[in-house]
Amino acid sequence: MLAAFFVGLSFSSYAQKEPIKFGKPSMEDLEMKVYPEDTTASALILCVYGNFDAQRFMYVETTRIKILTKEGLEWGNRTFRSLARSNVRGKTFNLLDGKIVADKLSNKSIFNQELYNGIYITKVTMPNVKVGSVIDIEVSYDFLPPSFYFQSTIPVKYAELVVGSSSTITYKKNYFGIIPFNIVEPGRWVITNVPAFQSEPFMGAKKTYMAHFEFDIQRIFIPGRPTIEFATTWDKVAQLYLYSKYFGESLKSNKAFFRQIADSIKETNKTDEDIVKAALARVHKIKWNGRNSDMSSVESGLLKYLIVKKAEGNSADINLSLINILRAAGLETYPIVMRTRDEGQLSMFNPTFYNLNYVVGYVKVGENFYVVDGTDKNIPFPFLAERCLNGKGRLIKSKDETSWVDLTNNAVSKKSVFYVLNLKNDLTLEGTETKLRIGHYAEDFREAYKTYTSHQEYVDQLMSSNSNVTIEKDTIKDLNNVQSNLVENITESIKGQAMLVDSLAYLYLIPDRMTENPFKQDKRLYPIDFIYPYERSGIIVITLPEGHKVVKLPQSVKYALPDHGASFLFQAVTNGNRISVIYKFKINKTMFPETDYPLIKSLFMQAIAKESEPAIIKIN
Amino acid sequence: MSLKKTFVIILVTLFSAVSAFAGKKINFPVNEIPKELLKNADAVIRMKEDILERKSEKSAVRTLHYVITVLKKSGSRHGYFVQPYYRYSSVSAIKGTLYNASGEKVKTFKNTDISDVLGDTESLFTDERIKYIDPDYDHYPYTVEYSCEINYSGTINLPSWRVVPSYNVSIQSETFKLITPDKGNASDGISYYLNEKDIPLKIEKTGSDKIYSLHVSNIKAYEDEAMSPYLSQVSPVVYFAPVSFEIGGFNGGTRNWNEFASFIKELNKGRDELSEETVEKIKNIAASKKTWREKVDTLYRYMQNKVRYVLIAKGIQSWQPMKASQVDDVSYGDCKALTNYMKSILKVAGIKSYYTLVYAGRNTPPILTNFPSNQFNHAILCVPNDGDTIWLENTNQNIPPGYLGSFTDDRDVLVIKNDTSEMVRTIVYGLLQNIQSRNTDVTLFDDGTADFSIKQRSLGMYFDQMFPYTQFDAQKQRKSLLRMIHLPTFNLSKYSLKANTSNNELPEVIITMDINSPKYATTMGNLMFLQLYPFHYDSQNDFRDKNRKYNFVIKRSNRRIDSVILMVPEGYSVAKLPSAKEISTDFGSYSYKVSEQNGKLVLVREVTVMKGNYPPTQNEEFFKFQDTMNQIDGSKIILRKTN
Repeated sequence: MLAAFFVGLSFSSYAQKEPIKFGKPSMEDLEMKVYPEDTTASALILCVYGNFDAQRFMYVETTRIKILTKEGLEWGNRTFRSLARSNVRGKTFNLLDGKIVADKLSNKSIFNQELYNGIYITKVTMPNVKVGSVIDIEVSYDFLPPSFYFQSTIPVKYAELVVGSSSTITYKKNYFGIIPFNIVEPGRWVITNVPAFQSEPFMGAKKTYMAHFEFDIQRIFIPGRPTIEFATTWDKVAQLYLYSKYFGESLKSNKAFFRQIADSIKETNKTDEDIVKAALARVHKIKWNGRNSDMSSVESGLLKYLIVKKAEGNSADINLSLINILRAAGLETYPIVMRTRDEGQLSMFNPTFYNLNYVVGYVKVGENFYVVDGTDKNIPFPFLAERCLNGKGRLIKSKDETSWVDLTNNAVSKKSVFYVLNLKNDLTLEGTETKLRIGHYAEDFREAYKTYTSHQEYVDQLMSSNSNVTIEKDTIKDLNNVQSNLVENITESIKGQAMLVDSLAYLYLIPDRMTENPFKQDKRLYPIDFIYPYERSGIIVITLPEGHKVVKLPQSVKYALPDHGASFLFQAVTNGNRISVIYKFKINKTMFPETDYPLIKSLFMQAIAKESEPAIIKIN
Repeated sequence: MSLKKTFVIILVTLFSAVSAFAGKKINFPVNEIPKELLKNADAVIRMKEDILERKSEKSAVRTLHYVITVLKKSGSRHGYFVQPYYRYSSVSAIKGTLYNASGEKVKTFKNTDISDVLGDTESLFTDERIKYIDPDYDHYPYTVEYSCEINYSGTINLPSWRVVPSYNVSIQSETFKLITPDKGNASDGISYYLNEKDIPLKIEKTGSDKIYSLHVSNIKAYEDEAMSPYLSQVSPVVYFAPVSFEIGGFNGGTRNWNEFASFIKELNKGRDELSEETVEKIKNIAASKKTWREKVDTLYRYMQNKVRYVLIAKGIQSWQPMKASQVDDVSYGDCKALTNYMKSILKVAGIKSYYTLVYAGRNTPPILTNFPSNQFNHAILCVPNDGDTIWLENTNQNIPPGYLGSFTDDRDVLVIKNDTSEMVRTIVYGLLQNIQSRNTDVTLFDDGTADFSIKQRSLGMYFDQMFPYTQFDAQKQRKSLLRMIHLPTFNLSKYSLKANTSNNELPEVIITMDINSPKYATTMGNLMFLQLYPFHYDSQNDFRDKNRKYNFVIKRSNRRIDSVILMVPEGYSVAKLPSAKEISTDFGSYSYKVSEQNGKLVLVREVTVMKGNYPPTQNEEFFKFQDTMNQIDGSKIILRKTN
């Protein structure tokens, strides 16, 4: 409908030859057997060409893929982002008797599903794909593309984006990635021979690092009408939200309803923190339908109905309601607009409106502000669901006061063990273990525990995964009380922790020690993302039989990264015939630059090595 | 609508005033499921009706209607509607409804929810497709109800009745029915096979029809145990086959294996002609070799180099191989075409061979030899020579002649001969073939760092396991190798992954790796502790369960041999040389022997595992076997600084 406004308006476009034409692969493409730049590649993007025609207000993206090996056949099934009312067409080309034959993509093999805010996921299954096939896929829609990827997980021989300029629409783009451009001209960008993107462990969303542009519309000029502004400045973005019936209005409506809820909460909750927890408990009663959104699914007037009658909503329905309740309870609370973790981090350079897909609350508790999200009832305050832990979000205090805030409450997830053990004459350790799980450790455990049909099944599985341990008794407290920490008490015997050579026993002091370094690569290209800060710690007390004597203990150590982003401490002391060990492995920061990789890999290495040092005991 | 959304049409309506007021009908609430059906279950089949009406030899209509409750996330795949079809079948009238835990309707699936995708991403030229619906709902438990109609034209296969479709799925009620015309003519009929004695199959006659039916209810979920037999071997299944069938204009029957073989012979008749040029070439090659074996091997290599495998499963081509001359022309074909082609080549050279049908797969259940029917999915060639039979796998460019591998080893296959066709067993690969041998040289430094140089050879079933890695791109190869290494901290500096398939014995995959591992050995003052066997790591032992129900199966005998030579650093010596350990059990043996030679420690570790079908009562013994090996593998040695 908007396209009608743009016909006949003045524009300037960059006349440039198209690198490929849909449906016309060359014989060379068909005959190619291997890609010289990367001879092991299973498939190759011969060309990806995006062209936004500002005059017709239409975007067309054409991709040509070559299948090189059997492993590459899966590239015949493509999944990509599109918008509503996209047109998709595709053709598979094969050589038959020296001639190029084509198979058309049928509509039956195109599958669309909305992701959020009118952004769709489109899946296509190309027909007749074989080793050697060339596949052409074309997507077109009448809008500026949300993003354009120069890089993929297979090599890209040639990537070009052309964005015609027009006086009617101005936009801003953000570049992500580390690949330099070959050609940069006004409205035209080319990268050739882009290497396949290599994902690394502890990386977060691949999208953040794959070479791509993200676009945001800033202004649309419609002659005879006032200019429509979008993401020109963050203030403008804030206004868009605050004036919307699906956001700002929702924060002003139904005041009596939310005050009623707040009042009843305040009857039994006096401290700020208790009020927040109770407000969260109240919105947990609204079933989250699994959809991420920065805007409510209903107009402000219907929000109350949604909460009370349907008791179901998207993430914004829930979090805007949460903000309303907290405000009505007298706590200073604001919305933060952001993007979820799986979509990659936001660019710090340019404001965006289009790329935001989530809203959370920011509430003052005591002297500090906390980020709050009401969609997941399995996460206790102040922890946040992983999808929220995504760098920074934009806090909207008012229509002219916005700022970046860290999407974290710095809540440290903890796994602490407390062992009280006796070393028996046959060198087994017998005694009790108390395991405390806090935050994400507790949440992960509760999730995993649900898959067992009985507690005994859980215990059996525990013993299957560690044959050295025989569990006599295992109880778990507060399994269903999400707000409290998870405490597991185990009575067990552990074998295989000691070896005897002549009259000396060599005893491992930490039963659940780390044995493998999660960082196996020798080099790292991208930052390390641990998602949330955590601590792995333990206190172990081992009582030796009468007459045994400790000859030597591992030396106590303390290692830390220069800025204390991560640390490890270990201390072992004897007291009579008792050995006491304390260890603490902490990751305090969540993101580390790739230049810190050697330090981090080394810290893990030191911790693993120290935890493997035995105590030397003279046997009676 | 919000500004953002004016530019992009939104079709989502999460809120519908209408549904809020409509009367709610309750269907299949979860609380109506009997408690005993929830045990060990990821999903429960609430009801299922599977009715097949056979109209003639050529056509049949099947109606499927079932309701399944998905109890938790681990059962989510059971919530999908998945119905494959191909050239001779079609799926229609697909309906689906989603209910929540209380039984209230959440959604009725529309046409736009039904996807149609390619069935097999492996196959390159197939008309097998799948209709599927993804309920896209993750509030567990939930219930889905699906129904559809399947039309079959050409009914060489009749669907079997699997009472228990999957592990961890219980059944509340299931009804199967097969209606077939019965005009007194035996050849119109069908034959059936029960894999368990007491399956309550009912057979009735009504007018001109015969009705087979089976009704079961309240079947508890079967628990998936480690290394258990196939579900079809431990749960009730009724198999059906048409006494006569017609497909693509060809007729066949299943009264006995010979009759079935005749159908194949008809399909293959006259398709072995080759051009004069090719015949000349083949004769020359054959003449240049002296022995029968050499002729077969050389002609096989000739075929491997000439053609490549492409799966063609279009229409009648699913059954009838391409003509040999056509394969010669286009240089590709599927297993039927390539096997027929190889047979034709050997025929020109005066060597007799037999087209053989097999049910292939590394991990597949055996066929029912007592139930002649189409149970096959692959073709190989049997080349006999006075008791010295060679089997040829014709779709693989990467194996030597005569090698079958885990794909078609150790199973009954139908060898189609001119006179009587017969069931023969293919090669069993055992201890002499399934070998993984690894040599590791370790240089240890006095700061605890160790340099490893590893060379691993994988043969037999290990070749089959490792071969795919040789085809990965460099990035994937490196990632796969990193996953296989379990040293505490390491750097993989160099590696190579190669397949050696040129010699005429067993093919092998050779992997070499150079690894540096800082702090491999724990240093404490003048002592060093290290695990002498670098390949041990904490892993699962699934045999602790004292209440095991089913047998456990070791499919193939195999042997793994390791030799580790460790250079002790200057000035250090072993505090105590570990004594030799040896275990011998019904399942196999294990030995771990360490000796000292000129400042080097030499470890030889050998594990032999014997193929077998072991009763559940032996599971504690098997647990002990694995556990003892793990304890010994993980043991440490102490080096002491001497002076």
